Formats: sequence, C-alpha cells, structure tokens
Amino acid sequence: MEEPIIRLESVTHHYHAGRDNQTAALDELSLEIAAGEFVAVVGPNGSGKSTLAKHLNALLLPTKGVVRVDGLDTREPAHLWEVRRTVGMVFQNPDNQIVATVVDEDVAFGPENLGVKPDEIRSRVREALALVGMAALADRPPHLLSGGQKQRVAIAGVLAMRPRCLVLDEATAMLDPAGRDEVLATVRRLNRDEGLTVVYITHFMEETAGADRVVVLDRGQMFLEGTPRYVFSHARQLDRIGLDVPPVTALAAKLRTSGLDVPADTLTVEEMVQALCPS
Amino acid sequence: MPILIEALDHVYQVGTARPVQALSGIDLTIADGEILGIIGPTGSGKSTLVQHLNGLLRPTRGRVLVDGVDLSDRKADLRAVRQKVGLVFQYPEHQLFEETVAEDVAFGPRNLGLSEGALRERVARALRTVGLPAEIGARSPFALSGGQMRRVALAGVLAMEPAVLVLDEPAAGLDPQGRRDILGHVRRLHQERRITVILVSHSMEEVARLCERLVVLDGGRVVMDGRTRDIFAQGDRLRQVGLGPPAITRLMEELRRRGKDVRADAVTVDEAAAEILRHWRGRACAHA
Repeated sequence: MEEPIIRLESVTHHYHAGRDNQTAALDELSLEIAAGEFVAVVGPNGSGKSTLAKHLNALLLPTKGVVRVDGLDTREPAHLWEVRRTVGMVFQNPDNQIVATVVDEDVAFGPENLGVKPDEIRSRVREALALVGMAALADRPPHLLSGGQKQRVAIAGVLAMRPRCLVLDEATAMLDPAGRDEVLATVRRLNRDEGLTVVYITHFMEETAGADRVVVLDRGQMFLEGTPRYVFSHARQLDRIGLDVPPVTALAAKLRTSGLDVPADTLTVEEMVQALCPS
Repeated sequence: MPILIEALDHVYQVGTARPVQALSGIDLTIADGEILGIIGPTGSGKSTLVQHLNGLLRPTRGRVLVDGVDLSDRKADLRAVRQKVGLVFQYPEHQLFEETVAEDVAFGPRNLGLSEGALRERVARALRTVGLPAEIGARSPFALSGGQMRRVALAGVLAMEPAVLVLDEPAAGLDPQGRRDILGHVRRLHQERRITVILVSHSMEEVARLCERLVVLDGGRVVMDGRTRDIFAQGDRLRQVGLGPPAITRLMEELRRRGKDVRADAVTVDEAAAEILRHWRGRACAHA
C-alpha cells in the first residue's frame, strides 16, 4: 500500500507540558491521510482542531507519539524544511498573512525564501495566481482586495512553494458568504484537478458536504469519522458535543420523525428536491 | 429610543487624493423594540453604518438622531448616547484587559456613579444574562474558552443596561454550540426586556432565525429593507448583491419551480417541515 502523505500515530500534545496546568489538546490521536484526499475536520472550540493543524507542518511537535509527513518524522530537525515544503498552511485571518504591497510580490515571498531562481519564481507566481483565479489582479495592492480574494492570494502564496498538501485552518471564518464560496470552490478545484491533498478545518458543517471524509474531534480524540453522509446521519451524537448538522439534514430528520420517508443522510438542497420530487 | 437616519453619507479620507465613499444616502428608521438584521457583502458599509449609531463615526453629510439627539451636532452629549446604545464589536474578546472577569464587566458602569453594591449587582446580573456562573467573576478572562470570553465581552456592554444593543458579527469564529448560546442570549434579552437589537451578520441562517426585519446594504446603499421572510423570498435580487437566501429558502424556491404549491417565504427548518408535510402528507412519495 502507498505510504499515506500524513500519518499520526497515537499523538498526544500537552500545552504547558510538565506544569500543573498541563492540558491534553490532542489525546492519543491516530489518523492517516492519503495523497489526493479531501479531509474535512470539525469539532467544538477547544477540541484540538488547530493543534492538529499545527502538527501537520511541524509548527507544533507531539509531546508523545509520532507525526509522519511523507514518511518523515516531524520531530527530526533535519526534516523541517522538507516537511514545510510538503505541507502548506492557510490561516483564519487574511490580513495577518499578507506581507507585500503588491499581490504578485506577496505570492513570490515563499519561493524566494526557498531560494528558488528568479525566472522560476516568476513562472511559479503566474501559475499559482492562475490556479486561484487571481491572475488579473496580480499588480493590485492586497489591502484593496475583498476577504475572499485575500484568502485566495494567501493560498497562491502557499501553492507557489509547490506543496503536496494544503491545510486550511478555518480559512473562511472571517469571510462573507460569497468569499466563503470562492475559497471553498478554489480548494475543491485544486484537489480535483491538481491532485492536491486538502485538510480543511471548519466550523461550518455545510462546507464539508463535498469532502471525501469528515473527521470529528472532541477533546483531542476522534469522535466520529467517515463520509459526510455517514457523519451527518449521527445528528444526535453531534448535538451532544455541541455540533449541528447542515440545515437540510436537520429538515430531513424532522420530516422522518413525522413519517415522511426521505433519506436520513440528505445533505444538500438538490438531494432533498430529488427525494421529494423524484424525476 | 427610536433611531432615525436621514440621507446619511460617510466618506473616509475626506480631503485626500483618494476619498472613499462608504455610505451614500442612507435613510432608515428603527423603532423601539425592533430586532433588525443588517446584511451585505464585505465592504458594503455595514460596520461603518453601525458605528454611526453611538457616535463613533460622524456623518459626512446627513443626520443620525438617537432618541431625538442629533449625533452630527458637535455639542451632542455622546457619553449619554453611548450609555443608551451599546456596541459590541467584532471579536470583542480582543478588548478584554482587566485582571478578573468581574473587573472587566464593571469597567463601563464604574463611570456611571453607582454605589459599590449597585455596581456589583449589575455585574452579577450581566453575567447571569449571558449564562455565566457568578464564580467566574473572580477568574482571569484570559483563562476562559473563546465562547466564554465572547460572552464576558457581551456582559461588559450589557452592564451599561443599554436600550439599544448593536452587535457586529457576534457569533463569528464560534463553534455551533457557541453560536447557539450567544444568539440565544440575544434573543432572550430582546424578548424579555424589549430592547432594540441591531445585528450585523454574514450568516443568512442566523438572521433568518433571529431577525424580524432585514436591511440589505450593497455599495454603501440600502438596496432592500423589509420583513425577513419577504427579503429571503427574493432570492434572485439577493444573489445579485452576492448574497444567497438560506438553504431552506432555496429548497422552497426549487420545490415551487417544480410546480409544488409551497410557501416561498419559509426561512427556518420548522417552517419548511410544516410546509412540506402539509403538501406531501397522504401522497405517495416514492424515492430511490
């Protein structure tokens, strides 16, 4: 079997390790992510989502257990560059991630630091901006862009380093609905067309409907895992840890309770229409 | 405490080479006890508009009257207005700073000249209102979870006992339980004390559940203003400004397009369930 691009083996992470107030943000978590997969990660505040994300490119190291990226143990200092080149991160606030005064310079920042040659940088920047649909705005100052556009620039900046895996830590939390759709559509396309592995952390349950797999964390442990359909058919368990299901799934549950026979795992408006008006 | 906005313009960077017109010709009347949502794409002027409601920003042109006081008047008593209109910013927990939760919540009302006992009572009441136990008052706000910090920040504004509560994205960044909690407290405040609530939000689901009236901004102008269900029933107009109706309303749209006679203006899961059951109950409904 092919080596997964990311493998967590019984990973525990303690903040304030060794002190009285030490807390386990991750608690013996094991997880494998295959190359090319789109994995959504959800969980209540404090469930360990961001801690998990930061382990995937060695921003944090496990207190116990092992994280392997493309087979490389992240605790090994000699692996750091390779790990960070393999896994790129996009964070919540676009304004904290943009460093340059013009879009294409911002995207060039990463590859410049990797020591890539100027010609190669130019072609990578062009390619990365095209991939996120921002080629036309390459010479704009980033502060005049919308939130969704800024996040796409941040994604391009990561892509220009040619990672194999993209980790997005609540990258849509501060965006308006149009901005959220923009970013999600961009990431989906990169996954489908470019084969990029995506780890997508979010609070918006409806954003996970298109993922290959949904991982639900609670108190640093795996709470549920499976296809979106499987996970959202567990509305009661999700409710217990303070999560909800997409509105259409909630509607399906309500209709079923009243005796209307629609599938419990109905996720989208289109599926509900199909269930109610079969053509 | 009615709010009256007349022909309001706001221009940032007036007198520079690049003035930015953030609001143009806003006319809006908000009556006592309303619960009103303000929606619009990023950059449509939502935050600029609400900062006029307690005088944080002054109109470039036009007037803002709160309880008859004209906030564009340089002599207006803004301090009095800010007691009546409480503004909760985006990510308000970033503004917590005191050593204990109780001190933080007491910071605003301390300037009101209350006795120490009355002040303590207000702090306790505000914490109760947002569902936090009294014991939490002794703790450092920085030792709390994100959702709790958000509620402490809200309590700090409520401790001023405002007649109008303005919230800019109060649930942003919280998990579903955190969102339900904070919005539940806002709803209860509105129902029990009849305070006016003005909610700025990016979440159509949120305003659908909470607000009776919606104002839609686009490019600094009011482009729609009406009852929530009437606004969401106009999906195409909303999409023109980059917003979409909630999933539930889109479902009703789609069912009507298939010739089903269901209400176009259902906005919540419960309303949609009732409509669908009314229409489908007793009929054969085969599916794969």
